[in-house]
Amino acid sequence: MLEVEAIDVAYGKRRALEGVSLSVGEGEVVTLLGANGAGKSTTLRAISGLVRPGRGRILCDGRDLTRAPADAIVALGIAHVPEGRELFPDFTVEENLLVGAHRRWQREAVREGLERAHRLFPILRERRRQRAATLSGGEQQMLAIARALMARPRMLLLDEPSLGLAPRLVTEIFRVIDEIHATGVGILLVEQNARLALGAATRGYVLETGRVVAEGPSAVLREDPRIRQAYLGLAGTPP
Amino acid sequence: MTRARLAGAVAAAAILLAWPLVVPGYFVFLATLVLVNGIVALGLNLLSGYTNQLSFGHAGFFAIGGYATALLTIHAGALPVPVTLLGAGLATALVGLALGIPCLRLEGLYLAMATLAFGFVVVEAILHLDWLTRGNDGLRVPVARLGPLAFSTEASRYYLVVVVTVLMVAGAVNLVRTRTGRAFLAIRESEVAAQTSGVNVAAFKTAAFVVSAFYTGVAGGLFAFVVGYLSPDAFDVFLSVDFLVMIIVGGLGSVGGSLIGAAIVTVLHDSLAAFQNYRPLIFGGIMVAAMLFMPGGVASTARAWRRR
Repeated sequence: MLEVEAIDVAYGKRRALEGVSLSVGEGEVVTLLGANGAGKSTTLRAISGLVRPGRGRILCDGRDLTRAPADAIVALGIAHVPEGRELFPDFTVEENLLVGAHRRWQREAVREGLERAHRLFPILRERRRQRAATLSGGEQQMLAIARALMARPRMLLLDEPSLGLAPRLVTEIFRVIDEIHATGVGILLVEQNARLALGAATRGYVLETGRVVAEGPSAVLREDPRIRQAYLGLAGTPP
Repeated sequence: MTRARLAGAVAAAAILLAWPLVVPGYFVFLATLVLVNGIVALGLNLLSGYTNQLSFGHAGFFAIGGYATALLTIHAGALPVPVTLLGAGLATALVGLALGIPCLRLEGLYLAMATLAFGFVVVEAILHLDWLTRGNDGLRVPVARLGPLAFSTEASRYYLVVVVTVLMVAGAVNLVRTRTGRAFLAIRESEVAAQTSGVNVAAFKTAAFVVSAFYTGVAGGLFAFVVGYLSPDAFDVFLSVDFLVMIIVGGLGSVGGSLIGAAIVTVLHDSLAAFQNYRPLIFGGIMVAAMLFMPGGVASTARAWRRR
């Protein structure tokens, strides 16, 4: 469904991505691993139209969206949960969700979307009249994901959903990722917790200083000595 | 609507309607000015309070609305007032569109500078187009007419302004409660999140400029009728700052706050008329104090008090 073809992205003079290519199939979960500053978030930002690649193409179902504005990309079915959640802090939980439904504002679609969000995250129903800023970190992450799902995307770009969360909440977030995947939504997952990410994804890419240095099925990446050492904190060779 | 709110609304309507019958003429004029400024504050708040685009040039829009109304009344006196005001509003909105699009690329200080420059350009344009605007000599505005009705008394102009204000307030309340208003506020809260939620940020920011200019243009038209005489020096940069003080004191992102802020600033202006030279000092002080002690303006301070 999504094809990224050899994109370069630069912030001013600094090169952030060089010739990055990747693909995510319909309903597939793919993870993007790499150290801080390797270009994982930049890759997601390029796909969702927040930054423009200097070279290369990004295709969705064969349609070129390299130069499409961010809102048009949402309309094509790709929703981005940005790094740091980027909630609307003074909005209530429900208002946050309603902005997420900006492009699907018909009464019926909104009601359906809210119901689905509440089913996936029951806590958001309890907190619906509360300001987003008053939520805990885990609840904020859930709200950010729920808000993105309000657009009824076919693919979700998740940027570090477990960042700063307690282990119990991390497990909860990954349960939700599995659930979202089960409804047929594809996911491109950027995650610092490589073990969990490879567990949730069928395939993965490894980024180093803006380039893809390894790719393959999760099972293969998990056995790769370099990846075991650098990202999984294990001994080089599998037992 | 709760019973208390209904009672409040009825009382407000009664005061608004009975005002010219119970107070002397000068206070009718003052109340009219409060409402005219209230419409500007509403318009400015939709832009600065809702989408976070600070404008130091709204006196320019106000002047365009005023001159458009005056010229329409002079050259097409047969037009009924609503059409004249609508025309002035639309003309100003068009200018808002022309200014809004290039301003999309600007933020914060740069946007403030661009709008400031716009305000100066408008005044210069009025001065140089003297075959049309009579430049520094100023323009006498004929009486507003609606069929056989002539708005020649203070009270009649007051009622005209009341009707327009009610319509404009109703429009603003409806706008901010809908998806459009939510999108405006979402842009203020986080532009990235608004974008990733599918909000076309560029379109909404431009729309805010257009709507804001429309409101200010209509208010400028009313102002022309109310004071009956326009000259470019009435629309200097201090007027733009006054408008900003109104929404900062009243409350950014609040419809009620816009009106309260307009009332406070207009009445204060009037009572400080004897101290012309100290005006900027006093207003600067009020603005700094408001930002320090009630960052959300009167509107949010009142909300906080009610919650106690």
